[in-house]
Amino acid sequence: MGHKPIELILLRQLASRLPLPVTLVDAEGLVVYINPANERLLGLKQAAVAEFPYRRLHEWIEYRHADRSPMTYEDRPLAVALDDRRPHQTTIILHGADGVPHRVEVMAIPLDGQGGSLIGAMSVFWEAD
Amino acid sequence: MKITFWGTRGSLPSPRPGTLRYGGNTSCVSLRLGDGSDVVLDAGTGIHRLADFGPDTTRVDVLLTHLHMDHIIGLGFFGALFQPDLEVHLWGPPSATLELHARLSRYLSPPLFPVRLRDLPCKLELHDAPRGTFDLPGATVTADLVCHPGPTLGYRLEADGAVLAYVPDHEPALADGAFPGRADWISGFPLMAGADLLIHDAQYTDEEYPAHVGWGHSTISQAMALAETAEVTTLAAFHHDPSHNDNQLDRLFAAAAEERDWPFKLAPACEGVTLTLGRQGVFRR
Repeated sequence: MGHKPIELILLRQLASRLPLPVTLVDAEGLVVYINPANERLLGLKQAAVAEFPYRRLHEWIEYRHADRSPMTYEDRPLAVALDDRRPHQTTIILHGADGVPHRVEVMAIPLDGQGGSLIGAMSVFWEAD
Repeated sequence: MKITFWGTRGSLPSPRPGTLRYGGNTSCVSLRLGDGSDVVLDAGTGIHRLADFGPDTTRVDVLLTHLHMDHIIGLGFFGALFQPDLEVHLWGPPSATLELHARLSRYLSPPLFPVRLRDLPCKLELHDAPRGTFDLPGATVTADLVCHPGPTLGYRLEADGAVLAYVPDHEPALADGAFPGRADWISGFPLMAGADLLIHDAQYTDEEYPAHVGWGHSTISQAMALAETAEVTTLAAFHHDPSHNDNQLDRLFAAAAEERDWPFKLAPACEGVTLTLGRQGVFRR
């Protein structure tokens, strides 16, 4: 695992204090941090997902569109932010690893470091209901 | 590499009888490299004691970690800036908005200071230090941003077969609540890893830290844990809190050193002390 850029370190510090669920992934698409609020939302612990490929998170989490149709990896807001390098917001239904369904709004943004290099992406969730 | 501490105090100049041994001047460290090159780390009030450079000196490089006042307040009193034949290179942290010249000019211009940068007699060049590795005469420097309010760099200097890491203002416990935890979440860690000498922030006691989280500084025990994790040879605890007098610092560092058998040497930075750093380790003159 590579050393984390300071932007991710500071974002983790911020996210660790927020009541909103937050996911941070690095430029390689590895989940590097979920904050305590997101641990509760996803039914997962940070230690379990650290350095796990975000692309494979569907092995634990079921993602669906707001109309309940299945959501591919490419449609997930964090994937759009990371792979297409643009912000994306939508409403999704996710079933956490604990089986609990949540209807949430998600906003994901790419993270550009100083100099313009992509250092990862971040998503923030709001309970929609 | 000869390393002289001209200012070891953090945040605020603190000259008083009780701070004579550790010193009351703010951050400034000079390096005389094996090939005769001169490098100065930060420009706190300690830089005033750096005498004019001799006739053989043609260039001085000043590496600023950041632009908080305690690290630049001595700049206008740095003799080298007033030597017409001397080439002075000022390196500072990059900013997303303003070049180093514009940021330093906020201080080095009226009404805060009577002389403007453009009026200094030396041959002055200003550089936004790149995040990465670059060469100076006699040394290879690596710079990266570290956790401290505002753009702040730590430096790693490799010269004369030795490695010096200079990270005077740093809050490494941010991000990972289980500090020191995983090294990949410690800002600036690659700068410090395996250094022969680490000059590092050690401002607070454990009792003082909770009221200062986010202020950008370390406790003595955090600096010790970091030095151990980074596997350095010697830790020069630095940036002493202005409220701590010599006797308090003696007690704090003695307690830290005696806590257990550390795999490095603790050498708290004292103003006026010169260390020699080379392939054979660190020696105090």
